[in-house]
Amino acid sequence: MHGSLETLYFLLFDGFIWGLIIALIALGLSLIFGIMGIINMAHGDIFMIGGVLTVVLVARIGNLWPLLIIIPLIVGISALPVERWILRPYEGKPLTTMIATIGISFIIEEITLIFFGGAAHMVHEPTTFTVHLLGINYPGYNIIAGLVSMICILLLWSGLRLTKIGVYIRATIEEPEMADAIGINTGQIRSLTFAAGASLAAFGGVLAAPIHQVSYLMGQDVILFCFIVVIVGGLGNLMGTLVAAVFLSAVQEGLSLVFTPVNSNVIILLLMALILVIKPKGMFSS
Amino acid sequence: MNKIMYFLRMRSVVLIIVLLALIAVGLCVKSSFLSILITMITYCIYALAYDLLLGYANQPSLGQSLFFGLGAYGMVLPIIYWHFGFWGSLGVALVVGAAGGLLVGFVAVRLTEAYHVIFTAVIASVMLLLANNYTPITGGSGGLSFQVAPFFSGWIKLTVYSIAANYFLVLAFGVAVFLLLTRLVSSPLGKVWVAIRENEQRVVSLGYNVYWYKLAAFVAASMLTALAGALYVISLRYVSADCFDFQWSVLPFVWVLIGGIGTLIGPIIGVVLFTLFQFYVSDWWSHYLILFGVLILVILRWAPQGIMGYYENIRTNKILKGGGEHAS
Amino acid sequence: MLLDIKDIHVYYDKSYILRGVSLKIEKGEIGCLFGRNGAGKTTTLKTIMGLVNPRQGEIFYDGKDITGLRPYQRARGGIGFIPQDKLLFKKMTVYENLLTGSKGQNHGQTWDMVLELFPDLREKLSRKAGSLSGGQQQMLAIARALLINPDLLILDEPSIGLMPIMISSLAEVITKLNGVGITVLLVEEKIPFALRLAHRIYVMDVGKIVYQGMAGSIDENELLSHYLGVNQR
Repeated sequence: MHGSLETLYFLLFDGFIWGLIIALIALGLSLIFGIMGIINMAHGDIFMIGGVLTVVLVARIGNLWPLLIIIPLIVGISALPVERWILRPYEGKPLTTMIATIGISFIIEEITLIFFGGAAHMVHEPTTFTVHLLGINYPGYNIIAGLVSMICILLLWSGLRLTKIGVYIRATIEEPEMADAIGINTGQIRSLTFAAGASLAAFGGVLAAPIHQVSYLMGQDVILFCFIVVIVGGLGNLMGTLVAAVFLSAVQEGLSLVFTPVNSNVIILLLMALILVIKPKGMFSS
Repeated sequence: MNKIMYFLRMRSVVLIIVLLALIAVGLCVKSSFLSILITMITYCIYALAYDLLLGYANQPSLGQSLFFGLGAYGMVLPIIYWHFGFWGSLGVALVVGAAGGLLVGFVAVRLTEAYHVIFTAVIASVMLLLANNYTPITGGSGGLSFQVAPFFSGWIKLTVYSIAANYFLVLAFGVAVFLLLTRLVSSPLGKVWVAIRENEQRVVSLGYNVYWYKLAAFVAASMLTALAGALYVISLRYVSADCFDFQWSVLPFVWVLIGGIGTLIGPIIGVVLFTLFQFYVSDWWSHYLILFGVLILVILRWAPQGIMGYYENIRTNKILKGGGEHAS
Repeated sequence: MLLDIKDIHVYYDKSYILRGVSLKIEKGEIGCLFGRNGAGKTTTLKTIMGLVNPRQGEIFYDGKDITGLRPYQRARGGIGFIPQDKLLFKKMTVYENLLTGSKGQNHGQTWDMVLELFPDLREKLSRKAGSLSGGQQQMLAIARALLINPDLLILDEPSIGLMPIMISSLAEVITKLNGVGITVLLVEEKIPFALRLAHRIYVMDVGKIVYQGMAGSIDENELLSHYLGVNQR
């Protein structure tokens, strides 16, 4: 089995699916940076909250699907005051926002540790079927998770392209000062974007709960990978972020055929450094 | 002019008094307090290095744990594997730190602020993963213990197993770094750094190669950070992969922030206050990271200039007011 | 009095940019602001829009004090702004650019009226704004500003980089808009072009208003030699 072509297919496919979930998180990160200049170090912890709430609530209501709506909603609404009252003064200053969100990250992680404990949990997959794909039996839930992520990304994309709010958001990303001067309430757009970004991360957390171990530190690995993704894809460049998420995730899984996970992380890192040497503003910058 | 001379003289007098007090403390006081002081002085070196980087050369690195860890392991591994003496391994630690700084700086220095912060943070995080993974070499999070053979410094034979000797060794490095940086920031090189911080475009148009100046600051800071890492593990006689932990990248920022960015006294004040806080609060509550987080937010909101900035503001306001009265 | 600026002082960090600027525009007028580079013209306009905040002084619009309002509130209150740089959202289509100015309504009287005024734009709705020519970009910026139904239109050097033929059609557009009751405040360096339009003239230098008067009170040569520091002959 090891080293065979099937394994490679399996890993690449797995990487692709995981890349779509990563894309949800990274897109939120990139969007928040694009609109507000916030580098959100707590973004991984928002993903973690999505996972932890899933563990807690699945035990109560016994079903994962409604949580895909409920949890992002709760998280999105709770994110509003954080942006308005804590982060607003630092927006546009990358280092300061990063330090402030590190503070928030410490608070979130420790509070989760107090109430949720340090042990890792797992949520049972809500579906049990498997799909025979390229000569391997693939868990059906992963495919559903991939499809749901894809739908979510499509909705985000069409929302940004086709709705009035989407046009306002893109205008604010491109020229924030100008957008304000021609009548767009950019303050409202900021709040909305931050909440939307947080919701996306929480949504990813719910989707990932049956695939990924849920613990109060689960955000840390994910945020590291997401940062590599947004750097390679270009901060604030949504299309680049999406492509980089799927590509890098597949590459990482593919590499794990030959290397240990840590070593494949190092290779991805070197790839990132190389891209930054050639293109200091991301692979897709002009 | 007189006022400035007076201020400078006052400052040296205060510094000499502080130094004498620190020496007296080393001679009289018992070990537990000395070990806090050793930690503080080590952190001061770290904080000063970061202040040089952020406060003077305006490079917002969030990956300093990389160089701290490199310094720590650069010190320990030669002692363990090749039985190097203190000075030999310290040399290795500094070279490794500087080389790491050169490699990372090569990429990081040309990036804009956002990319610079993320890039340095990511590199340091991956280094932590590596250190945790290669347990046979690094000891992982379990760590490695080691022995430090007595060594000569000048004509005195020192052993770090005597806490007083350890204290004076670290103090000597601390004072040397402080004096070095005082010199450095008022040298032509330091002036160019400040000019870059104030208006990079202008420095470029004056014909300076900003890249090399920034890289020089990055390498210098990495080397001093490695020195801090080396002294840290020497005093503990223990090293673990935790030296690469992300917290070690956040701490220098917090120290410098508390004390005041771009001053050499500020970081020291920041270290003293925050280390006391960390020491007592973490003793009292295991979830002190919550308070750490809250503290970061509080400082950012209410004292973004740090204590020195606050002090300077009051002083300049006084001077401005005084001057205004004269003029009218 | 539609716009009444009372003694505004503006600083960028430590540099003192506007040193007590007062300026009035009556309803229905075209006001023109002249001055050398760095005199503070653009800063004055940005202060009117709220993109820069004065340390001292007040701005009244239609009798109301707007000094503390956010830029978007001023825009929605009826001030249309056409800046000099960063004129458009270049990565977005013409249609989307228009949407940003119209509170999201892509139909209705104003929309039709504006597209009638700029028939060229109607065919290029799906083009990227960045791909338009300089003149078309200027027209699009004006069209977008018109979609919020402004009473006051502020233009910062609209003629810059335009071909002579475009400049005269720009003058035509401005006259036409003024004809339907829109007040205009114009910053210009092309003096003949601006003097032809202006009802009221202001000249700035080093952050202060150094001349004010009605159209015809000063001619081009006098303006140039006395205030703009250029000796023509």
